[in-house]
Amino acid sequence: MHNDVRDMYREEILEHYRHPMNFGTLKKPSHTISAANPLCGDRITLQLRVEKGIVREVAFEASGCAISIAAASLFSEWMKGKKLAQVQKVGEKKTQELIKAPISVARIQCVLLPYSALKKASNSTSSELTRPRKLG
Amino acid sequence: MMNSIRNQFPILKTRVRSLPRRGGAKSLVYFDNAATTQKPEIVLRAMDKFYRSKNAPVHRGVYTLAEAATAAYENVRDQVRDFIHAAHREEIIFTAGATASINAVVAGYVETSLHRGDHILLTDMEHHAMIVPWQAAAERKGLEVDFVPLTSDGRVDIGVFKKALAKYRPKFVGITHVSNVLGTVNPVREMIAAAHKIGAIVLIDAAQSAAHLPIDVQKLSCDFLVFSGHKLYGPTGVGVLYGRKELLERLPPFIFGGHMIEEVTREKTTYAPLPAKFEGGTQPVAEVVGLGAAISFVQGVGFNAIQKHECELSAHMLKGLKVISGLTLLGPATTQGRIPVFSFTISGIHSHDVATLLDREGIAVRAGHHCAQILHSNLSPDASVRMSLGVYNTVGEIDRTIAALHKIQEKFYA
Repeated sequence: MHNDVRDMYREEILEHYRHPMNFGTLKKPSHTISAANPLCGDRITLQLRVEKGIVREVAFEASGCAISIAAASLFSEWMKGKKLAQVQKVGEKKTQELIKAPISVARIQCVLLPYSALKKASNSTSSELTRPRKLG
Repeated sequence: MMNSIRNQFPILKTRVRSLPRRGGAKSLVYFDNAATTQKPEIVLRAMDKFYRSKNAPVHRGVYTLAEAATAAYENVRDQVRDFIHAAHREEIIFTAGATASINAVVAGYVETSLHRGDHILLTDMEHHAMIVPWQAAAERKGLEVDFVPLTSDGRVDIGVFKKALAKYRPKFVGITHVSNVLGTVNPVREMIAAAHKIGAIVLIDAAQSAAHLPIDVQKLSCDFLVFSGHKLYGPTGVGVLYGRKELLERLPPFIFGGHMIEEVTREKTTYAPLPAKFEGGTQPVAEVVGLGAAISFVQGVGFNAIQKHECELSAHMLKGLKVISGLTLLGPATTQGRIPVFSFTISGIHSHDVATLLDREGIAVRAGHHCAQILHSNLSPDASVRMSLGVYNTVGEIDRTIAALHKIQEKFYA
């Protein structure tokens, strides 16, 4: 198996899977959102600390395939310091861009898993989602 | 024998080019037969020929063409009767598939014979097609659905099953003949006898077994048995519901419309006798004809040859999987009492990654929980990879797959 730069299983992606960035939990998150992929049972819990509309800190815990973990790693790193509203607006396109490889239709949901968690936060203004919550 | 069988399946000559589109295309290794099997020429030709030369409404027209279509359709009923050794041809009902058959039995049985508080006994091994219709009916009617737990290696223990019968006194028992995840063959004959002792009615889901094991409904003495055409080298959209005649006669129709009637007046409709009572509307005639051809194909190869070949495949696969470190096989690691279906996890590599990387080698497998979440969560918290083989698969394809799995591990563990 080759190491094509346009391969979703290239070494860079596998390295994100083995050592994901921002993996873990935040001490004082302002948002805690979970999402799951019913097809494979993959799960992600995303935590954000948003101050004045800016994503200051981000962390995630997930069980999933290499593609979903690497996507979460890249996406979480990318959103730091950006406006939450902006991140929510371009997130769907951006998660796919960050992988830098064509994704087969069957696997697109894996890539979008971190975004679907983020989207839930964006769609809700309820206080429940903005209150810190325990993971799990 | 192998080459002559493979040559009958045009799709097996397909070459696969997966993403990223680099390197040469790979010849297809199709290991997803538990989901659906490929179709031999005889099936494709039979359906094509039907549409070209015999297509007409069945049981309606008085003209020659309609008679030919009706004969083609009804001949398959005799073929199916012979295939599963039913006592009467009218015990064979054509449906849209195993799922439709189970839904029909559940709906009819719930309506006529079950009452609030009655128990239904299933096993932890069932496919969602058996579990979900009963759960939905239980909710509507206030029934209790109970499950027989499995042994740690994923088998039904007849003693545990008998205890569950004694404990719940179920009115109805639903059992899969063969697990679609583990490939294990259940001792259905003993299970049916035990269930009958307490007066329960038994439905056997033969979706996974029909292509691998001979079925004799009279020897099994089952009350209902269902299977699909498309897992038996036949077309999608057609399946069979077998029921004992006296039970089918009591069961209400589940599809109302043309053909299933005896007489319709403004006041009332009386229903046609078996099997028409359950075959309302225009039937999938070409698919039924295709099912007949598929049965001819299976009978042509013969179950002795099928079982001998598939047992060799199982032995070879088990040997190959054994040497892959970190691989956990779900269910028994023996060739006895199984069909060549293998589900496994590899530590540190998600099943979807395994499936995608196998696809790059042209190998088609399934990843997930395989429509059996209860069984799956019993055996593994994670999704698994399933390889399900059929009559046309070869030892060489297994070797290619084992080599590919080693390669995937090297890549991931680097």
